[in-house]
Order: sequence, then structure tokens, then C-alpha cells
Amino acid sequence: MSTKSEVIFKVKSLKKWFTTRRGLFDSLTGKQEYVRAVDNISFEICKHEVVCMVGESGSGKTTAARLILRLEDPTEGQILYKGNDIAKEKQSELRKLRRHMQMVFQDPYESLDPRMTIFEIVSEPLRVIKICPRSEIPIRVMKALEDVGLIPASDFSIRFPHELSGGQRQRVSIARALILNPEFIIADEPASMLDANTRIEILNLLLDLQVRYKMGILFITHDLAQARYLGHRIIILYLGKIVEQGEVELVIKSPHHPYTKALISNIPVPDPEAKRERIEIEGEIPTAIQLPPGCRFSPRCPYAFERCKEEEPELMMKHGRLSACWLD
Amino acid sequence: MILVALLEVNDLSTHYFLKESRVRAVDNVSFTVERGKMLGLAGESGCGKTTVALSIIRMLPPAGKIITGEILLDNIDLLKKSKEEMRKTRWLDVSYVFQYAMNAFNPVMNVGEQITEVIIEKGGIKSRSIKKEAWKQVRELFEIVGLDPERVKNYPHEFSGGMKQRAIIAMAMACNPKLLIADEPVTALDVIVEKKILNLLKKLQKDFNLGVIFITHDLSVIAESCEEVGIMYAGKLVEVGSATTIFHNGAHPYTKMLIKAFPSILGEKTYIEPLEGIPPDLANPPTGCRFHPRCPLAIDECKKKVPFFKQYSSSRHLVACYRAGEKII
Repeated sequence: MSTKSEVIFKVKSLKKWFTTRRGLFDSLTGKQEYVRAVDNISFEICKHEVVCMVGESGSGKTTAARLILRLEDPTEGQILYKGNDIAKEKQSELRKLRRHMQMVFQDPYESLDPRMTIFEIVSEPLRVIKICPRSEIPIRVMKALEDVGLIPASDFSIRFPHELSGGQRQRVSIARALILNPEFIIADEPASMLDANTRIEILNLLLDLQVRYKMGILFITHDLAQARYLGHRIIILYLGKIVEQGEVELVIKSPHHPYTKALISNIPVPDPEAKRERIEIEGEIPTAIQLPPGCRFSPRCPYAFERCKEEEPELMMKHGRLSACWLD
Repeated sequence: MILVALLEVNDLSTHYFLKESRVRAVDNVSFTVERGKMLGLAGESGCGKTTVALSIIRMLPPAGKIITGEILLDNIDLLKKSKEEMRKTRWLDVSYVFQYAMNAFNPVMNVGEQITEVIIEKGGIKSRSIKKEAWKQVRELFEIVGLDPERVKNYPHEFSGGMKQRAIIAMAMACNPKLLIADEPVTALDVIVEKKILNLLKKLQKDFNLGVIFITHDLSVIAESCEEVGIMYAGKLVEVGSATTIFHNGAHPYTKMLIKAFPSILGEKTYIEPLEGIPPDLANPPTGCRFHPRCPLAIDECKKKVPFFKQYSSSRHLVACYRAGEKII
């Protein structure tokens, strides 16, 4: 997707530092440690664009998503949406804005109320944010259910979540997110807990809805293959920072940042004969409390040199994409 | 001496007897595992992979009953063993890494101590300094699985997910088993850690000439690590063969469609057509081939007669399908 299309979301220097629990001694001396879950990230999402945010667990991708919808208050930074700064809006204003941005959560077993029927679950946003007369609610719910492939809709609407399979539940979550005709959806690992076949069904459904309703999607996943299947642009996070960002094919075919390279080379592919370059990196992702000086990836990076340990690289234009790395 | 396979499962059927129904979770499944080889069992959730594994170690839930079959470990039928004999077989001959086992560590006991329990209980160390000996072994095991031996006294919460998984594998290796069953050992892990655990399993398999059954729903993980692959569908094994055969010359329509359902980071980006429908209810499985209601190639014969395993491209490549190898349009 071209960079010229209209920007709907602009995230500027967004930060979320969580405080750690302190012991008595530390609180007396005023010492405080922070978990830098999201540490100064900036990006844009255009209209009708699918942006994938990829990272390992603990890289801050879910926190970033929650910040964008203000389900969490940011420590610093701006989230600009149509001239409003979501980071500073009052709750009453946010309510109005949230009709344009909805979220699909990861776990289809936890995110639906077991005591509500599918009709009640999907219609709830309409009852909270009154964008249509009451009499219109059933029509809209049926349409949303049909849109996500829960057909016959009248049959599904009277069921309870426990009567549905994982894939069907995830469809309900998507219908609930769609019912307000949002401009923008955040999907947090919507397909990760599903079987291969159901996963593809859900990804295809999202692709189809995105085109049909011209939505923007921020797709959060740890799976680069899913990101490639769905996304136009990709953002790679490591320890709360963006390390690489660019067109999805470019980044996956010729990654620049050593972390992206390592991620890609370690992904299993369904072909035992495939010959690929392997990049081994040491250890596991550390916690975002005591960050190393310089580049946060440097202690694990096979290419690290002096400068990486002293100075933190910011995102720079490198071979057609942004990469936060001192290497050329 | 005739060389026998490490594990031979013949015609295994395991059903769950529920109040009103009988779920045919595993039906007439046969396969072998060689020493020093890794067999990957793949299929969608609910296709019976875990039931096969639990049948081998005979730890089925109370409703589960093994109806027919034999499970020969080194030519000895595990199904004929008494409960007490079976108890000895577990850990000593066969060990099992359960799904999410890394979350099953006792949080108030240090990791090393939990492993010494296994060694003392099963290993039959007879010396007076039994504890000391067990701790020594734990340190060695930590070294083998790539953990710092200095950390044996750490508690589970001090370990990361990958380290806990290594510790679980150390525990599984504690009594030097011949066969290791790993049920979704990498499913909850991130890619880089996942790759490391796979490398570790590979190394153990080679170094100890270990037979491994690797259960997962993720075919790409199998492609990375297994020599042999078995594809299960609705309680039946539908195709077995070497990994290369299955991935490049898979003959069962289900195998082909399952492999295609994985988006890849290699090659051209293509639209993936999912398989229609859902797996059948095993209390009421379809007649004939269980895959026929979803199969694009199904003919009348498929609905009437159950297809049996037939050799396909080689003597080690078996397929249960009347239309094996035909092109799916």
C-alpha cells in the first residue's frame, strides 16, 4: 500500500513503563524500577491498510495494542486519530471514538461471556453505543453473523459460547467487533490458538472483511508466516522498541536487522528439504527491567560491535525500510 | 538375530466410554518407531494423537479403554504387563513430556529436587549416599540439556519458559529411557526458543539413540525435526512415510490439504483455500473412509468401505485411501 494514502492513526513516541513492586526499604529510599513494556515507539497506520506487529512474548506488542485503544494509560506519547489525541481524551470522549476502533482478542475461550447468548454478545456494543434505533438491532446482528460466516445466523444467535468450536467463537468475536462498522480493528493473535485449517479460515475471513468494509487492521502475532499472509506492512518489536519496519515482502525476503534475520531463520517451514541460512542467537528475550546500555539486542547479537554497546540506534532508513541498527 | 523395531503399535483401538456414547478416539492404528528415529504424529485437535500416546504408557483417563491391539516395546507387549510392571516401565523405558508440562513443576520445591525424586524412586540407586548420587546425576542432566548445573537449586519461577522445558526434558531423560514421547513440547514457546528445544531433542535422539514420538498439530515443526511422519485424521492413521515423502509426495488428500494450510515465509505468497467442514463427531463416525464427507475426491467406494493401509511409493510409505495420489482440482 502506498505511503500516500490517508493516515488514520499516528502513534508518536508512545511509552508505557509499569512500576515494579517495591519492598519497604526501596520505598523508603525512593528507589523505583520500571518495566519498560513499550519504550518510545512511533508508527502510522493508513486507511485500508493491514499492519502486522510481530515480536516474541514480552516484546510489548499486546501492551502497544491496549495503549492505542486506551485500555491502558500511556506513560508518555501521543496517539493521534482524526485530530484527537487518544492518549489525553476523557473517558466520555473515548467512548465515542471507540466505536470506530474495535478489538478482537486472542483467546476465544476467555473473551466471550459464557452466560450470554451469541445474540446478546454481538448486540452488546449496539446497546452500549446507540448508533441505531433498537428495532434495527436484530437486523444488524444477523447481518454481522452472516458476514463472519455463522450461517444460518438465526440458528447461531440463540446459542451459547460453549456450544461453539474455537473457530466459531473467534468468528463471534469478529462479528462483535464489526457490528459498529469500525474503521479500524486491532486483532491480537486472533488465530494463534486454532488448528491450521481453522486458522486459515479466520485469516481469510479477516482479509475478506478488510477489503469489503475497507477497514484498517493492526494484526498482532508472533508468527511471521501469518503476518506475511495478511499484512501490507510489518513492524518488528524487540523489548518494547521497534527494530524494523517496512513493506512485508521486503522485510521477510531481505531482512536488515539481525533480530529480524534471526526470527526469520528460526521459523520452521513445512518442507524438510528447504535449505536456509540459520542465524543462531544466544539466550532468550530478557525482561524489560534492566536494559543493557546501547542497543537492547546487542548482548545477543552475533554482529554486535563497540558502538552497539554504547549508543542506542534509532530507526533509520536502510535499503527501503526502517531499521534500528548500526550496521549498513 | 532379527532386528526388531523399538516400538511396534499394531492395530490399536482406544475408545472412551461415556454415559450415552462411545467415542472411537483411536481406531486400528499401527505404526513403528525405530531406535534413534523421530516419528512425528500430526493432525488437527481431537484426531487422537494424544490418546495414542497415552495408550502407549497406559495412562488413559478412566473412561478410556484399549479395545484391541498390541504395543510391543522391544518385542514385549506393554498391554500384557501388570499395573506394577507398567509402573516400572514408565520413566525407565518410556518417558513422557506432557503438553504444558513445564507449568507442572511444584512451585515450592526447587527444580533439582523434583528431578532427584524421579531418580531415587525409579533409578534404584542402592548406595547409602543415595541423595548425593542423585544430585550428581541431576547436575549431569542439566549439563546435557544445556542448563547451568549451578542452577539446580533454583525454583521453577526463576526459570524462563524455555529453561523450564529443558528441565522437563532433563527429568524425562533421568532414567535413560529408550523411548521418549513428547506431546506438543514447543507449542507455547517463541520461535527462537522453539528452535533451540527442537535442536536439543534432536541432539538427545542422536547421542542416546533414543526413539522419539513427537506429537504436534504444527506440520512445519515436524518438517524441521522428524525422520518419519504419521498423519492422523479422526482417530485413524491415514498416511505414514518418511518426512521427505510425506511433504513432497504425500498421497492422501487430507495430508496434501493439511500441508497446504500452512502459510509459509518462503516462495511466492499465495492464497490458501481452507478445507471445508469440520472433523466428524467420533461417537458417530462416518461410514467408510472417515474423511469422505470433506474429501474433494470421494467416490461411492469411499462411503461404503473402510480403506486399509496400502504401500504407495515405497515399502515404508503407507496410505489408507482409494484415490491415493490423485490430483485435487
